[in-house]
Parts: sequence; C-alpha cells; structure tokens
Amino acid sequence: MLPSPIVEELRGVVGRESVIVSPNDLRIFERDGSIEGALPDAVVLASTTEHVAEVMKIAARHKIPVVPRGAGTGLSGGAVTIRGGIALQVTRMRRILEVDPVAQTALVEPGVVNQELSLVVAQHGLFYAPDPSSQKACTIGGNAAENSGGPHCLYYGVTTNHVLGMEVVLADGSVHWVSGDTPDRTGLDLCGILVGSEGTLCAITKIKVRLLRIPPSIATMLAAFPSIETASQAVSAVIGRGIVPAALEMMDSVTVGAVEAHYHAGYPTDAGAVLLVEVDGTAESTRELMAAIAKVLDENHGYGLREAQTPAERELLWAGRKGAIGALGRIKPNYYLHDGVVPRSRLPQVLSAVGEIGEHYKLPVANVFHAGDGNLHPNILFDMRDKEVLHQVESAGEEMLRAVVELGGALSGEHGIGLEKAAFMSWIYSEDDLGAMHRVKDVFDPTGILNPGKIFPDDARRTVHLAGRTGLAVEAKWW
Amino acid sequence: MVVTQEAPRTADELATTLREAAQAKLAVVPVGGGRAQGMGGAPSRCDVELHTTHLDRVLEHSQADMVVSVEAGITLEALQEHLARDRQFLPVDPFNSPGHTIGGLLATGWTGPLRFRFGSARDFLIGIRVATPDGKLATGGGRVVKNVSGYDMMKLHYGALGSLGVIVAASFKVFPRPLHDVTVTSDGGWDDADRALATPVAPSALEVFSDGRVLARYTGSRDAVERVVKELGWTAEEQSIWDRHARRAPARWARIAAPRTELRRLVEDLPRGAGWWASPGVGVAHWAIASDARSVKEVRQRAEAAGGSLVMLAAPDDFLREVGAWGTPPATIEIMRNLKRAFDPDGVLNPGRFVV
Amino acid sequence: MTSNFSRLSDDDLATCVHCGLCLDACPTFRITGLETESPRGRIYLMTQWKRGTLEFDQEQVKHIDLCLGCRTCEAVCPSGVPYGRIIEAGRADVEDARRPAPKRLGSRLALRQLVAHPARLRLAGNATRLAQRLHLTSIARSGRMLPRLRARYCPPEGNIAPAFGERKHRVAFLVGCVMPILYPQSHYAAVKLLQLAGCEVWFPPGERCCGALFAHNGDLKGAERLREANTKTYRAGSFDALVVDSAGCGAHLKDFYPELKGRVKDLTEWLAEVGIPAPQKKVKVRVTYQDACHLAHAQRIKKQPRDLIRAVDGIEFVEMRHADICCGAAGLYSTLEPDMSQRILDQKLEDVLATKAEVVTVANPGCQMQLEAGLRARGSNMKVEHVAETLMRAF
Repeated sequence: MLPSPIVEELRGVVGRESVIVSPNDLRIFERDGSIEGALPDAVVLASTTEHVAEVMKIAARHKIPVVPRGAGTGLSGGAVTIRGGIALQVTRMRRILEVDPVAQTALVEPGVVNQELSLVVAQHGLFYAPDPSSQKACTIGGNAAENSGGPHCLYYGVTTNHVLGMEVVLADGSVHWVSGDTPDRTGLDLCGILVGSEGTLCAITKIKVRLLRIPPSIATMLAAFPSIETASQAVSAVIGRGIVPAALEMMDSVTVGAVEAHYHAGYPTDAGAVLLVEVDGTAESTRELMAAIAKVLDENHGYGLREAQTPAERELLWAGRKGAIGALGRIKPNYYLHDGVVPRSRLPQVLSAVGEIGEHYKLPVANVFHAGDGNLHPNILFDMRDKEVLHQVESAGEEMLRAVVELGGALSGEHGIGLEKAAFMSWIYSEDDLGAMHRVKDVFDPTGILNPGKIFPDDARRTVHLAGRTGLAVEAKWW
Repeated sequence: MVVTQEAPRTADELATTLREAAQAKLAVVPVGGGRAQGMGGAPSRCDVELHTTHLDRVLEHSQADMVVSVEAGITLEALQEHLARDRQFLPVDPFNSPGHTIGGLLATGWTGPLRFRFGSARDFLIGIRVATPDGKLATGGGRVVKNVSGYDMMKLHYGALGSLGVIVAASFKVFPRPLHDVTVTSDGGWDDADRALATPVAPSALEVFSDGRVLARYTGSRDAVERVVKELGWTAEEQSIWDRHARRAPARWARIAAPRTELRRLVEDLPRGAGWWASPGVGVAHWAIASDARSVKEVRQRAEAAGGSLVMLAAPDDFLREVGAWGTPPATIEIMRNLKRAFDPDGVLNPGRFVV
Repeated sequence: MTSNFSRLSDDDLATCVHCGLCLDACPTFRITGLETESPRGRIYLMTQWKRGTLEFDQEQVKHIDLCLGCRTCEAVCPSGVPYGRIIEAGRADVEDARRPAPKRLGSRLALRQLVAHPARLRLAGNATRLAQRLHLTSIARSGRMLPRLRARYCPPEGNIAPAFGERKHRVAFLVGCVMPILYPQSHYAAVKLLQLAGCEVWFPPGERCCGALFAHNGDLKGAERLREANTKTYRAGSFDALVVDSAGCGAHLKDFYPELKGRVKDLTEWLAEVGIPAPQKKVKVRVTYQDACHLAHAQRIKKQPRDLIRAVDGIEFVEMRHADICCGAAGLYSTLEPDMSQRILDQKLEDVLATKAEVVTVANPGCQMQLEAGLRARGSNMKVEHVAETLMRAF
C-alpha cells in the first residue's frame, strides 16, 4: 500500500481515474503471461511522456519501484511487480505519431500494438518486421524493452535491428532521445543498450522504427516429418544449403494436435513433427527457393509437402503457428514455457533431453519453436489447481534450461530473463560478465528503482534447485 | 614522450597489461590493423600502444550453425578466407581495405556498400569479450544467433572506439555466399540510383559517385536477379570492382551520415568539384576533402541541421584540430560520460580520441 | 461469498492460460487501456471469486457490467476459452450478489414485462411511433437513439410466404421481438431473398422473443422460460432451417436451444449455402460492412456476408479497418453503459467514415441503431442498412 499523500501526488499528475489502488483491482495486475505473480502497490496509467517523467520523479523521490507495463503478454515475468511499487501502464499511449513512407520509418507511442502498426502502414506497401506470436496484443514498447523476436526474425532480425531511436525516461525522470533515423550517430550507442533492457534501465515513451517493403511474393509450405529429430536435421540441411528462409518453424505432434483442434489449418496430425517454411521476394525468387527447399526436405524424410495456394490459406497456416501456445490450453490449463537457444546443429540433442526430462517428471511437454534460429519453446503442460505439481514443473523447466546451457546455448532467445531466469544467469555469465552489466545498470538507475529483481540473480529470492539430473559440465567457453 | 609497444599473446595477457597500465595511470591506445587510426581526435596522450596482432585465431567456426568466433586481431581477409571454405562470408566490406582487424572494425563501426542489404556488424555481432582497465575480461552475448540473456553489451562496445574497453574476441552470425551475385553500372547519377532503389528486389549494395557513376550489386535467386538486371538495362561490371572500391582511402576524408532522404541534398551541396561516393540506401557518404577547413565546417553544419553528422576519418593534425573530429556532442553526452567513468574511471583508454 | 458463484464453471475458467492475446480484441480495453476492463482481467476476477481467493466487492461489478458481451475475445482466443458462457454465468451470479441498481432493475422489468410479451411490445412500438411524430423522443438519450419507426412488420396471411419458382427448401423464420418494430424493412428484404432462393418461409405462430436479451443481461431464468415456450412452437412445424436475420438472436438460438442444433442459420449463412439467383439489376454503390459481434465472433461468420455483397454486380466493396470490433451497441449496453458505449462508437465512426462508403451494411438491429444514431449526430448522410436490404438492391 502506498501512503495516501503519495497516491494523491500521483493522482495530481495523471488524474484521479488513472491511479488504481483498490486491492481487488490490483489483483488483476499481479501477473503477466508467465506463471508467477506479485501485487503492485498502485497501477498508474500514463497518457503522455510528461506523465511518465513526473511519475518517475515521484517514485525516485520516495524510492518506490517502477515497473513499466504494456499489454502484459510477456513470458518471463518482466512486468511482474515482484517488489511491489508502481506498475506504470502505457497502454493508453497508443498513437502512431508519424509514418514516413519515403524514409520508411514510423514514430509510435509505446502502447501501439505490434500488429496494428503493420495494418496501418500496409497502405503504403510497408510492414514492421518483428512479429512475436503475441503480435495481436503485445505492444511495440514491450517489444523494444524485451528485444522481442518472432518467426520472421530468422531472416529479418529481432526488434533491436528495427529500432532506430527512442525517447526514454530515466530513473530520475529526465527525458532523452537516444539515436534516431541517421546511421552512425556520434557517441555511444545508447539506444542499442536500452533495447532489451527489460525495463531495468528506462521507461520507453516513443519509438522510431524502421519499416520494410512488403515483398511482392510470399510462399509458405508445410511439411510433415516422422520425428522431431528428422525435422531438426532437415532444418540444418536447408540452412546448410545456403538458404535462409524468412521463417522456419517447427511444431511437435502434441502441438499439432492442439492447434488442429482449434484452427483446422490442415496440419497432419499423424506426423511426429511439422515444419512451416516461408520464403519471400519476387515471384521468381520464391519459386526458385521453394523448389530448392522442397528438394532438401524431401531428401530429409519430409512428406506431405503442401504449399499455401492463397493468401487465406497462408494466413491459416500461420494462425495455427501463432496461436499454438494458447491452443495448448486445450490439453492442460497452464503451461510453463522456456525459450532457450542452442546452436542449430544441437537441436536434436537438446530436444531429446527435453523429452527425457518430461518423461522423468511425468509431465506432458509440447514443442513449438523457431527451428531456424535454434530457439526452442518447450511447453510443460500442467494444471495450476494441482498445488503439488508446480514445484515439479519448475524443476523440469530448470533442467531443460540446464540442458540448453550445457549444449552451448543461451537462457533466452526472445522472452527475456525477467524474474523467471534471473537465478540462472550465473550459468552462462561469470561474475565479471555480470559485473560489467551491473555497471551499466548503476549508470542508468543508481538507486535501483527500475524494475528491481529482474535480470540479475537475486540470492535472497530464489535459489536454483537443479534436482535429479546429473548434468554434464557446461561446455568450456570458447575463449 | 616514449611510447611503449605491447603485443600480448593472449587475452588474459592483454587484460593484465591493460590493468598494469591503468594502475600506473598510463594512457593506452588500442591498435588493430591501424586502418582507422585517423578517425577521431588525435589522442591527447599515448603511453602504451596495445596491439592485438597476436590475437589472430579463429576460435570456432560451426559451418552448420553459421556462427564464427574469432579473436580480435584477426584480419577481415583472413577470416573471409576461412569462411570461404564453407561458402560463407561476413558481409562487411569497409573502405581503406585490406588489413582491417575484426576488433578494429567493431570499435570503429566502419562499414561499406554491403551495409544496405546486410546492415552493419552491429546487426550480426552476437557475442563479445572485452578487457577493461581493471584487468577483467567480460563477455556479453554468446554464440547463438538470437539471444536476450542480459544486456546487449555488444551494442555498448560497437563503435565506442575502445573508450570503454579493449575488444579481445567476438562472435558473429555469418551468411551463405549468395546463390547469384551480379554487378551493373550506369552513369545516370542519383536519378538512376533512385531507380535501382525501387526495383522489386532491392540491390545488396548501391553506390553513387561524384562523377555520376552508379554501381548496383544484386544478389540472391538467379531468376529474380536476372529479371531485375534486365529491366534496369545497365552495363555489366566485373565483380572485382568492389575490391577496388574498398581500397579507397583519401588522405583527407570524412564520413557524412544523414537520414536517407536528406543525403542527396547534402552531397549535392558539397563544394564544387568535390569528390565523393555515397550509399543512398543507407544514408552514408564519404567525401575526399580538397577544400579548406571552413568549408568542411559548413558542410558539417548542414549535415547536423538535417539530423546527421560529419566525422573526420583522416586529415593532417592541424586541419583536424581546426575542424574537430566529431562535431557537436550529442545531447546525451552526460550519460555517455557516466558510462565512460563506470568502465574507465581514470580515463586511460584512448584519451581525447572519442567523444567521451 | 463463494457459494454465490455457483453458475460459473471452474473448468471453463481454468481454460484461460492468461496469455493476453485477447486484450486488444476487447473494445473496452482498447478504450481504457485497463486490464480490469479486459477479458483476461474479467476472467481472472471471476476465477478468484469462484475459488474464494478474492472477496466479492460491489465495486468490482462495474468490470463485469462494462463487458459488451461481444465475444471478439472468444474468436481470437487460441485456448478456446468459452467466454460467452463464462460471462453469462458470471453476470447471473453477479446479479444475485450485487446491490440493487435502479437502472438495471428497470431494464429487467422492461425485458420481463414488455419484451417477453409480443402484444405489449407492439403497443409500446405504436406509442413510440406516436411520440416520434410529436417530437417527444428527442428529449431522452435512448429516444434519440431510436430510428424513425415505420409500420411494424407483419407476416403474410396464413404464416407462409411461398417460394418464387420451384420450392427447394422449407425454412422457419424468426420474426423476433424488437426487430419487426424497429426495422421491418430488414425482415421484408430477408423474406424476399429467401423466396427468391427457392425457400418456402414459415412463420411459427405464437413465437416469442428468443431470450437473447435476457441471457446477455444475467437473467437466465427469464431466458429459460422463453426457450420452453418457443421450443413447443417449433416442434409444431417441420423445416430445414430456422433462418434468423438478427445476429444476436442467431447466436443465442445456436447456443441455448439444443433441440435446434445444426438447424439455426443466419440469413447470410443460409443464403451462402443454398445460393441466390443471379442479380437482376445493376447497381452502383460503395459499400462497407460492419461485422455484428454475435455473427463474426459468436457464430464465426465473417466470410459469407462479404462474399454475398461482393457478388452483387456494381457494388464497390471497401473493407473498413477494425470491422470486427464492436460498435458499442451490444443489446441493452448502450442504455446501461451509455458513456462507454459512446466512446466505443466514436472510435468506430472514425473507421466507418474513413471508408468513404455510401452504405454501411450490418447484420443486426442493434448495430444498425447505434451506427445510425452515431452518423446522424455527426451529420453524415451515410446510410446504414441490413445486409438483406443491400442484397435486395440487385432485385
């Protein structure tokens, strides 16, 4: 609970209606798309940069934690107010301020929904490339804070490759523009370090993004495989052939079953795994590339190859992929999802480890992921109403992540470290590595009010409980 | 003043050397291939030149993963040769080649024509290891192509001109050699360049020169490339033109960067008869300066008014002093200074050379 | 208090995985930016009440009240959360637990005493028509919302409209409660299209309101009573399909009348299935289409109306942005929550006007009334008409 003088101060900035302190209402803001929750002391809805700056100043004065929050679709607990404080909601800042079709840029407020931007700029033949699966709801501000990815990032790159500049509010309430639409700006790349900082260095109030031309031709193909292993090998074979498709996505049989039940996209439910491949370019290049890819898939045990014939068919194939994680709700009401990344060639190994861990804990696991990037998404399925199971689920998830790290991988490809994986950071980074990141944190947020408890391991909160698995040593660093 | 030359054999050794110099408050200037020594202000002090010459190994290259990890002192050419065995490459083609080291390229942020299609090394740098003046070696990122584990430390050091630490190793996402690679030329100047920008397949590199010449490089699927090239109707050009282009390094030159839409105007306003070349798709131009310092300052003023910058890449000392290396400091200079102090509290790294 | 939340099913509630994909599909979230006014938020709230982990608090009722029941969230939900069922149960539970509110009591009274009784409703319609002539209706907001009433829709003699040409199908037609009073022209056009399509149309005598308005407002008992009465009526006749030209009624009949399973068809769904003859007249008009929530989301019918409209020679069809987002009418919502309804309508009108269409085609009387009132207030001469009327332009 915030003392009422502070609540009044906040109300003085954003208006009475825009500060929520009723305990029952706060309950709704205790979680994001992940599992763990914690009540904020207040939810403050900002409508302008000035609001954000003034709220930040109040928070700084009273040393109250501030956690910027968009649509709350994040999967790593990034928007969870684990130390209480203010959930600073930017969902009302949802204006697209400028679209420059010549320079191919857009200036947006942080609450603009990812897909909405692409819909609006489509009239100029442009699109915004990063496409997280939650793009129907997630915000560009949240995307920038998390450096989100998405299926098409295989070819187009992740959010940081598309953010040209940002207006940010620092922990002291000061407002700054970092970078912009000029390449090679003088000085340090502040924008680069702030994208992906998960709300721990700044609150984002405006974002200038790069837009791309909608390719004249897009081809999408679905292929079935007898097993996850054969599908993984096919992925490596495609890329090894020197072809980088726009997207290369995999779903295992569990996922395919759930997706097919909802979307009826024509996924082969008898397959061990399904690959969704997309290439774009001109009609000539997509034809040539698709033919080459089809050949590679065919040589690698692919069957039932089916190319979308109409835009509607293509959309349906993608709807299945993008809604896959939610569709798993048909099997069990809750899922626990990690998003470790391994070098692509290690996919078969890591997936078999994931399978073993699931069996060990007797927990169903569904895999749906960005195979081309080596970015896996094992979903452990469970029912939260069963109080006993949660601990098991966490242990299983932790072991899966450990397997990823042992195979030379990273903790997160696109969801962020947040709350969920902070404890594991020391698996991949030394004290000195983390020390360097801490120096950055201290420069931007010396008093530590911005999204505390995230990214950095917090010994007080939770220890790693790596139960069971013997575990190989983490592969030696290559330098 | 005696300048000590140090060329450590390992990263650890380099870190130790750096720590010892810092403890003695000696000014350290990291040197890679020495191809960009003219960039930025002349160091206000230089006690130790720290060469990365011996850190020249490929640490790991996974052909299947298309990821390579190298030490900072390896030259771009040596790395490309290694990757070429597996028909892969790093899409960086900086001017004043050959001889750039990877560490030097990352520290300076130099780019070339291929930036139009592939972006700069900032976009495919996936891991970095840096020695800091306290003698520590800190890693950021990793060797996977997509990674949001912790802060993006790669961005912090890319283009920082060694002001926060000395890069000792780096990992990159590499690319398959294009299926088809064709270059065509015209002498139609900016108007033709605009035509090439609007083709259904965008060129991978597009350069326009002060004499009106245009070079366009198309890569990708054979059918698509051939169709576009045919529609454009320009003259075929040898691929080796790009090597020759990359060797460019006038004795006195500057880099002009601006929003893409402003670049043409800026370049056309250069002093009469000026020699320049530009990447209109990127927003960067290089100017071989033949005029006086005053006119350089005027051009910089115009560039900055358009939201851009003019940075000196090489010039005699007195000319450089008069013009200034970087121009107006960014509005966020205080934050940058704080970062500098956090990593290099005694200011021993490259003093006077960078903006912080 | 938990025992009060008996109609909510914990298994239904548990299907929500809290992913948040529904957020931006929710009109009230889009307006307020508040998760308390989002499907995920409302489900979270109801789940806590159901499980007894959060006390029910009178202040919270507003989050349930503010739900339009448009079910757009249901259409985008990848987990298949039965939001429509949840919110109806939640509303019914909330009705038991809430402090009495005069407006809500009034609307329940009006539903039970007026809408449920065809004769009384006819009388009210006549009275309103008179009041409009005397310009009395412009005094109240709800009065200003009303269209200019025409003579009520009357089924033909003998309750049968014959097929034109060969009789291929026999369908029952839902005349309904308010539709014949508010928009008789829609019914006339719909019936004519059915006749053109070779359907003999039967008007079940004694048919009453389907109960949709009751169920949507937490009066499940009232809705059940009407279902019982109507089911008897339907049993008395034989028909291939019960054709409905009001999306809200169609959705309710599909969900709430197990006996009619598979036989309830929206007009556009049915026409797309059986086909309509080639247009006879060439028209020239620019048309846009506003999805009815209970058609697009509850019944998942978006393609058929568009295909039918597009098939008319000379119609220039323009898709409006956010066509499948609610206009704010939502049954009695515009009366019960006028402020939110108006804010949603204002946003909707921006998208509608941006199409520069001459006609906005709709599939539900509520949407028609809301858009007409909104466009009138903005001084636009864009015409709002039922999809049946748009299609009849060609005949």
